[in-house]
Amino acid sequence: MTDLLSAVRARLSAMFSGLVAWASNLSAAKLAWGGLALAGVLLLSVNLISSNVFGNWKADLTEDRLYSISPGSVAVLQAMDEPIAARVYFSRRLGELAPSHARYFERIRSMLEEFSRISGGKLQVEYLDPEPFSDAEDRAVASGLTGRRLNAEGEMGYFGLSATNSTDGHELIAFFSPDRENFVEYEITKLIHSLSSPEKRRVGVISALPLDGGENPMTKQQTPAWGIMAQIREFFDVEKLAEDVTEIPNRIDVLLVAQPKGLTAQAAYAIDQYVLKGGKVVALIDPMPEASQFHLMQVPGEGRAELTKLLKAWGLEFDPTKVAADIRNARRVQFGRGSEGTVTEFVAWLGLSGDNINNQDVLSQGVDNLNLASSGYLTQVPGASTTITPILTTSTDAMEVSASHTGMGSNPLGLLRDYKPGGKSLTLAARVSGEARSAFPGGQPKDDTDLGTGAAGDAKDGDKTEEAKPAAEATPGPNHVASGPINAIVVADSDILADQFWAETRQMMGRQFVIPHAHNAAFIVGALENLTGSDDLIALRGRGIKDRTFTRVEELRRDAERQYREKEQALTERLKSVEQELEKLQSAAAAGNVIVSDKEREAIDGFRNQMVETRRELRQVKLALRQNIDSLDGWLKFANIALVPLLIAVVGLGWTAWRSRRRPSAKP
Amino acid sequence: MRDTLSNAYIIAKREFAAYFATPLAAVFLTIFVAATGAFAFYIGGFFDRGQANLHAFFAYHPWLYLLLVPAVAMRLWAEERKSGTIELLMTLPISPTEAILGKFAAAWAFIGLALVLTFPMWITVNYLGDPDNGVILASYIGSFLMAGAFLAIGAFISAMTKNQVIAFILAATVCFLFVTSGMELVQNSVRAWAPRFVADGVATMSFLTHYEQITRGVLTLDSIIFFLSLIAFALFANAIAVSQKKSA
Repeated sequence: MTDLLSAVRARLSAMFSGLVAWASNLSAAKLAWGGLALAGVLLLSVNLISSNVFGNWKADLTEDRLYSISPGSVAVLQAMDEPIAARVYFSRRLGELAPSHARYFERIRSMLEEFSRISGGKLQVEYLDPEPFSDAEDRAVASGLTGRRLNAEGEMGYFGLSATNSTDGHELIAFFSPDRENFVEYEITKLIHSLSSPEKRRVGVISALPLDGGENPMTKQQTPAWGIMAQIREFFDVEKLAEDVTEIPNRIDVLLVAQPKGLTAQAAYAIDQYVLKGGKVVALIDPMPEASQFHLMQVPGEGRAELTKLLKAWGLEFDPTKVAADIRNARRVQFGRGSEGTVTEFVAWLGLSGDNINNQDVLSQGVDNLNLASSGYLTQVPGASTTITPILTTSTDAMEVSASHTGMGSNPLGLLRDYKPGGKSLTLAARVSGEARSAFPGGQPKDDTDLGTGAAGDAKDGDKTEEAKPAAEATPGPNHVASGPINAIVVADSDILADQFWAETRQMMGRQFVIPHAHNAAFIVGALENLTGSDDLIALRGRGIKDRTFTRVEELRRDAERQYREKEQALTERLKSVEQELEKLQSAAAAGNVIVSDKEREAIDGFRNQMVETRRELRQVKLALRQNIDSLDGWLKFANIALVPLLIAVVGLGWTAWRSRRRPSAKP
Repeated sequence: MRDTLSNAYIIAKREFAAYFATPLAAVFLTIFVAATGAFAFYIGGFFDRGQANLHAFFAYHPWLYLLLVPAVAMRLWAEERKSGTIELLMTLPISPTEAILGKFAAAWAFIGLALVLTFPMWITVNYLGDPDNGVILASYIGSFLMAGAFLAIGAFISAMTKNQVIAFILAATVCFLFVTSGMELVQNSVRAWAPRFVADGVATMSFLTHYEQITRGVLTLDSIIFFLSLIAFALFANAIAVSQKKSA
């Protein structure tokens, strides 16, 4: 060993002796600057190498661990039972033009390397640079990737992922849009999940909502499908079932009953039996389905009698004439147009977060904010045998308002003015489990005409006809199940599904990207998944959507709004009456048939002054709406830009002066 | 090594205290805190955005540092050279490395103090809403590392000249190139004449790219290595410049 080392040393000395001799003849300055040049090369090399080698090494300090692999992804990757081949296409030229894409690509690459490691090598990833007119570009196009034009010559850049499994299943991310970077882990995990579990569960949908689009009865125009359906279809095979279905097929793994318009008694019985025999259901029932009011042509209280009856059997009472209003969770809305437009808190449109979402329930994992509109509420039937666990609740300041005051033509200002906190929390969504009895103790109803509970019957009686007429029910058949353990999730709102309340769609390169701003879809898909026993993606789905607004400012705005709207109404009424009085006097005087006395003239002048004064007060009230917020803004600016620097200056200068005075006195 | 660090620490302490011997420190700290606040509120629209994060605050740090850090760095060596105290410093029983490390550490700590004094912004955002404090912590670390890189470059340039104004302008220019090297404009002009690996190297050296990565809330090892290696390189260059001037 020693011999070997000596030999190496001798060899190296021989090799470098020339270099050393040459360097020793150089001036110190030349040597120093030469050393600096070498250090520069070393610096570049270290950074080029470290950016490639240490891409995975990081400390993720974000609250939701957005840059770390979540347990949901780990579970999906470890459950892979067949290899998946993924190809990531990234045009180098695209990264040169937009470094943000290059950085994003690096993130995806390091994530996929980690994914591959966790999957035990089952996920094989290949990286390709689809240069213009290359084979790789042809493959990218053939896979369905979307390109971005790079220059005037029409060369295209690609940044997407194509993956296949052993049975030729194919999944694709056509372009990694930076807008959706927060959701990239979820998207890739979802893709792997669908390739590794090609057998999708089946969800049966019973709904009168235009979930897959339809014709708007007012404009006669086609409306697009709701985004929630695309989200559901990513994980489930969807089978639409009619509202007069007589039996829920066995192939249905979970049933989604969303705001039926005319559920027949036969269909209700079918659902009842399906649930009691172990079927799972997510039910949405809404006193005022705002997003689809035209489609349903519904007035409050119509069309949900059978579902209400089923809920009652499961231990839940639902009042279709009442809506839950909550000042503490009210969303700000703009209504009216142009100069008449007003922005205010709409107490019937709720944005739920924090304590209003039960954090003990698996569904709340990753769900931080949900938007509901004119939601109803659920109460437990006294003595119910089932267990009701609230999932979504209002604050304790909630109140009940009539459903007819919401929806089209509602007056948010009026609702705000009349708001009186009810002092109790209302349940907006709940999980129901435990032993329940059939809603049809007498067995399958003969037909709907007997019952009078179809759509026509509903229109007549509304949901007040919750109790079906026993006479219409036949004796229980041999397959009738009188009771059984049930498992359902009930939400007293159907607008939770509508696009306008949880997402916006953006166009990029001819493709539509859905950018969620609330967790509505995550919540619903999570509910379906949870009931079918797959919880892996539930927490992951909501990551990256977190609304962090200035809650303090929102509170101020809300308080100011309530305070001033009342004043505004009183002043407006006073103004109206003054105007009327003035008009009366003036028109009598203008007609010339009345001699205006001095006293009346004084009265006219007085009214005029009152009118001017009232208008001025009204203006001030409107101005005062923003006063508190503006003053907070002003204070914070003052504190951060002036006050603190001023304190630093005073302390600093004082310290310097003290030191300089102390120094001479320290001398002997 | 231990002696080097202990000597460097003694110099750092002395230098740090020296900052407060004149009102200049208070002036600098005042300007720094006022400017970061003003940029966040007026240019970044911190309050109007209504979002409980400090993006509007941190986004302007690279551009503020372009002016403020070279102002701290310019006097590190240029002043010593102009007044001739560098000779005195070099006669002390300390090595140039110790002096360089000590001076740099003091200046970096001083800028760190300036950053700490922006804590009212952190209080403000926590008062207004519920921010992700992990992201804010990462952003402060990223900002501090970037300030160190700015400072090391400024110190090196300060050692090259007797004139503080020239040191300031040159340092600001070089730092500007480092800030913008990842931008499309700079990349295109580099790619026009340089081979690809050079262009890649230039892109890798961008302050903005690494800083933005950290301000998202994730401290990546390659970004930390980038800032620390750049500081090490600039301090090495600083040492060469000082020793050259000493021997000249």
